[in-house]
Amino acid sequence: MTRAPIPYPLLLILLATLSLTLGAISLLVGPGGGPAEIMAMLVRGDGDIAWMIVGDVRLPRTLLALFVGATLGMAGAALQGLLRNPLADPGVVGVTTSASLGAVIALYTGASLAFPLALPVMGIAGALASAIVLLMLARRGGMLTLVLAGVAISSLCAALMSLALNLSPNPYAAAEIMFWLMGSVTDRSMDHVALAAPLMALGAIMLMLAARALNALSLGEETAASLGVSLSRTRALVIGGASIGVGAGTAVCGGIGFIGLVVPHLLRPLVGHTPGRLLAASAFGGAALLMAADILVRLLPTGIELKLGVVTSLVGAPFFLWLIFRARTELES
Amino acid sequence: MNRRQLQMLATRLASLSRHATGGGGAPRLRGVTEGVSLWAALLAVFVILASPAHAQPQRIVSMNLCTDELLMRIVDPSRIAAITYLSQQPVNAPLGLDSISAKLPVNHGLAEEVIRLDPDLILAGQFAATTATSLLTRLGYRVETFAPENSFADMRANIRRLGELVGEPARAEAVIADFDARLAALQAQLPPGEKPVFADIGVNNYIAGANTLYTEVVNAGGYRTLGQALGFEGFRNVPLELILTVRPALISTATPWTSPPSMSTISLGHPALRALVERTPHITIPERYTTCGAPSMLGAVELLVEARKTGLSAP
Repeated sequence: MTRAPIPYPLLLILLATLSLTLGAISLLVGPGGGPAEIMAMLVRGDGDIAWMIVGDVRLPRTLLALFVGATLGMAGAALQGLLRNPLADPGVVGVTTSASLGAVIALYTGASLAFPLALPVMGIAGALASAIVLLMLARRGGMLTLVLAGVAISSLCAALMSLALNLSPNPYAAAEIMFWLMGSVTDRSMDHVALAAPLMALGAIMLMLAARALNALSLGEETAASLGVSLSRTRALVIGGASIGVGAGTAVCGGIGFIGLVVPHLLRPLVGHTPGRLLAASAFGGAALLMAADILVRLLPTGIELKLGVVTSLVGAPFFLWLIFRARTELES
Repeated sequence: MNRRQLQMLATRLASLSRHATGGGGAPRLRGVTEGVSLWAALLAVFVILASPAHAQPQRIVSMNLCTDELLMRIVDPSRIAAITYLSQQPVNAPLGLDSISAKLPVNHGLAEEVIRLDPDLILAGQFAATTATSLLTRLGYRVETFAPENSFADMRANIRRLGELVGEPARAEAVIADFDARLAALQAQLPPGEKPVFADIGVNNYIAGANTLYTEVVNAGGYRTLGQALGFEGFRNVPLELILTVRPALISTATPWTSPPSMSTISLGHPALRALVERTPHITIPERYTTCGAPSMLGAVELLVEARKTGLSAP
């Protein structure tokens, strides 16, 4: 653990300010019109339209981008701390894809119509299942095992997802694989926020409870045990918290990759490599990054709006390659 | 000797007589001096008369919903070997042709079922069932493909072409004249003034812009489409917040496929859109009136003209 370059509270305040500023910008930009057009609507007496655009359409997507980004950032930091592996992230290790699979089953079978909570609950169940498989494998193998297991879980879940979507009698279902693999917060409503936000908050609380244990764990499992840290409790908190948060977020926004991988790496030096402190910092950082990505998809003149996961993957995949490359040179030297 | 061989013989004889008479049509009698060519010409005329299939296909199969309707309007049902199963579904049924379509055999766009019918003319869409139609073409069947209609003008051209293909040009012209007359009668009822905006929000927020058949139908019914108001051409998936920037006079939202569920209709359930739908006059235009560039479109025009007349356009 090295000294942090800036004081921890200041870092948190800066990151929180950044995400809130991006959130405010998010309310002002979009295909429905920028600040000038919104003002013009208010002036000419179309205030109800302006309110619908800002309050009913942009506010829910803003909240979801912030919450899901925070969840992914924090879950990534916690998983990396627990597994003491820089490549662990809900997207890379297949937790996101398996949460998508759970949500796909809930949505396309109609279960979520009868019982709205089925959507996040099935997402969480999917995430939990893959996290447990992952944990079992990670205890025995090293970095390679973890990544390969993640690839295997991801492809299996993606295949099962396409199977489920192909079997759906709805002709539009098959085309929606993009959403579940790439994620999006476009045109979500407050119903979605209400469904997922409480569960994402629960996940965050569970992860924060593991913060001190993660600090001790960075000294090695035996040292941590001698400091009175219960490894099984920490594991349950991290795996459970990450699955609940990521599962609920993915169930309403699809699979958004690489946020949980990139953000902890960017912030780790700034918190002095303290895993416990990285959790809150990564939450704010993840919220800011995903919010920025969602603003970007709205501003890019692509005609058809890009999926959010396309942008995060465009940034994240090269970063991931660089990480693997660096890890390899470290192992070889 | 089956009919196809007979046709080939007639064609061969006709060309023989053309050679003999020194070009021109087979029954050209003016200025003929040589007895041989006269006899050859008479023989050709006789063979052609004995085999009307040469000019008029008798077992026509349509493998496309849109050619189904045109075919049923132009030729006698006895000459139709099969239409698509789609035309018998209530959701697609062409306007006023139920009694005809109900009695006809159907196909599902598969080469096998078409071959079994031994058709002498196959009608197909340009972009649908292309593997089946290319196989049928290779097997020697006469396959005529029709491009989807993007305007009333395209529809008239397709009707004329079909009329030529089946040997009923007069009936094709009559169908066009009837369409034009009914369209003019509907448009004569339109109140004057600028066309208000009709927002038809499809699955995945699919909206029609300028230069589409759908927009021409809506314009004929006295409205502008949301896509025209937003100023784009063709069809687009429009973000919900952009939809909300226009205050439409009349609205319609896609209803099919909300069950079984999919994400495609998710924004139709969005509170902002629900609010817009609740405070805007609502209309339902059955899909079967707008799927094809065919006279069924008059059904949609009529519904829209009615909406304009009853003042549903009042903002």
